[in-house]
Amino acid sequence: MEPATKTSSANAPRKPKFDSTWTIARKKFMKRKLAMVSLGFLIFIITVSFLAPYITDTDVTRINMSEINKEPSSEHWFGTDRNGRDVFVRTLYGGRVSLTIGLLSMVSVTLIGSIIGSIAGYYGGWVDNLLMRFTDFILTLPFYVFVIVLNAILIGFDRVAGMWSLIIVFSLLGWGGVARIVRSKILAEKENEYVLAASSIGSRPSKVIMKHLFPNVMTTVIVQATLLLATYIVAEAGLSFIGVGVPPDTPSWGNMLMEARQTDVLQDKPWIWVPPAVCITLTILSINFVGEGLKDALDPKTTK
Amino acid sequence: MPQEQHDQNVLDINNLHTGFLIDGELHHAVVDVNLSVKPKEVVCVVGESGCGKSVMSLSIMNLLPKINSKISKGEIIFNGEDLTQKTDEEMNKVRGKDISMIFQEPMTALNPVFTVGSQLQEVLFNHTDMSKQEARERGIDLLKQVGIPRPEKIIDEYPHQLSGGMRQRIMIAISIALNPKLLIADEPTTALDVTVQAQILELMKAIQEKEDMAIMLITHDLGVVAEMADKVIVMYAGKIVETANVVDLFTEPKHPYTKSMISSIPRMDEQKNKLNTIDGIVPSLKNMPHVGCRFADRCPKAFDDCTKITPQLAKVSDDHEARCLLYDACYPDTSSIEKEEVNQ
Repeated sequence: MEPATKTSSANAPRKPKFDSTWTIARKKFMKRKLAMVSLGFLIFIITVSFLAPYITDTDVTRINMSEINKEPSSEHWFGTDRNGRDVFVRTLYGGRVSLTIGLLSMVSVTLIGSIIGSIAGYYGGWVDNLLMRFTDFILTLPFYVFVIVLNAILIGFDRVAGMWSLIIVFSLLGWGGVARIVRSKILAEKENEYVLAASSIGSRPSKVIMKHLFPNVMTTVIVQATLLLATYIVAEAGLSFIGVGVPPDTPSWGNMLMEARQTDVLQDKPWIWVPPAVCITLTILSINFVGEGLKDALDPKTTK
Repeated sequence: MPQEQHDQNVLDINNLHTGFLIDGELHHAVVDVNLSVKPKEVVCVVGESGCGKSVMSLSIMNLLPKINSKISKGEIIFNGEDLTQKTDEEMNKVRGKDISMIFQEPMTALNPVFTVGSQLQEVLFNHTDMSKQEARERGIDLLKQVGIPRPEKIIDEYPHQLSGGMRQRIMIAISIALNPKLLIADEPTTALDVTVQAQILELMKAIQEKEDMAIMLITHDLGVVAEMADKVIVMYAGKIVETANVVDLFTEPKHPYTKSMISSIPRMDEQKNKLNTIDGIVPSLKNMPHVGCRFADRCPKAFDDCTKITPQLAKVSDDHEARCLLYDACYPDTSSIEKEEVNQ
């Protein structure tokens, strides 16, 4: 349709003249160059990691003792490590593991935190008290100690393999912060009369929370979620680096950094540890820039 | 069906007590309220802030927070059914369909993140199984009814793009969407400027006459009362202090509280340097006197008995009830004195 047409008949398709909150936010976000570049990089690295099996047909776990510690070459773009495994392939597959852990942990932590926070905030009283004291309890647990212990226990059961145990442990221990933020937002938001108005037209509490309250606290949750993504990628890397994260047979960026614990690798064979290190750094930076951009874009007080 | 008289009234409230839990104690914000609303009647509930008007209206809708408030006694008969006995699930079928409500703040009563249309449709989806298209058409229809220009455009706009008056019209559209039998309007014009206020009242009146619904209008503006009401209920500190039809109330107010309120209205034909006010404020729930008239310490006509004897609501002339010891009828009969006190 030509933009110049001014006709507005009742059966015309829905065409809001003004933008919704989300459209405004998207436009504001697109104006932020750094955030857009970061988003582009994130999309790139996620795509490349998850398409790893289609990019290379080298077996990621193959050990080739005849080609250990080779420098980068046309055959092995990033060289090989001390077990003769291709570093480029491992970086791709490692990204897949690291990003999966980050993304899934983020999703489940945000979900659990939002549900608990919403219920506590909306119902208040003893429900709030119970849930929030439980949240406090979870938050008092020393995170890394419990992650290491629970992770070891879960890996002990052979069923939960590799990265999955880490995702479960992060999800169980991480939601406290989100729950608190969502609760406080809901507490402030539910004072608005539209909540009462929604109940007064016969909407159930579940609908009031999901349809009316949550969209109004969503912006905060989204920003929080991006930061969590960075946190969990770093946490995975850190834990794997000291050898208590993802089991060594599964490649992850953290696992690959573990090689750098050997002095000769650190000093003389940078191709083994630089690629995963650069990936982690750039990914975390991008996530933080995107988070910053989202924060500005979703803040109604910024106009540009 | 219960008693016969209930059949003709839209709403009957009997002996309603609603309280809030403060530090584990139940303090009543609404005490012994009895009232009835006939079909097509406009009942105004007046009183200053903190008199329990809103608490009463929220009690009818059963929308008070369950966690710290309670309807401790009494019944609210609507359509022959006691609303206080209904579960939340059952109440949801009544809310928005048979009884609906308009709120004070049109600025916050609409959800900022959804279009007008989606909020209009919500009430339709809650109670009917209309298709999206039907609901949209009905929505446009409703917007037309409440006098919104270009309804097919406005339906896709967001609340922040509309003025306060427009938003209140939309709230009215939502509340009349399913032709309720009773519309509770909790200070619907307080947040609007005077010209818009008049338009909104006119609109409500027009719809009320067309759709044959009863309105319970809660306000502290006696101007609004004069404009709209058939019957007026004056509340003070959780109790009804006077009930009368609108003409009687303004020509012959009986209770000193009503008299003071009426004399507090600025008048164009009087030259005055200072406006009449009622000294003091409504006592808070915790400091409510247990015995005597609750208005006693602010009342210009208070005498000894006022702090010692609790007056009861009684007929002081035809169709006119008051709760004041200036009228002999309001002295409690001795047999019921102890009972009254125990109840509180």
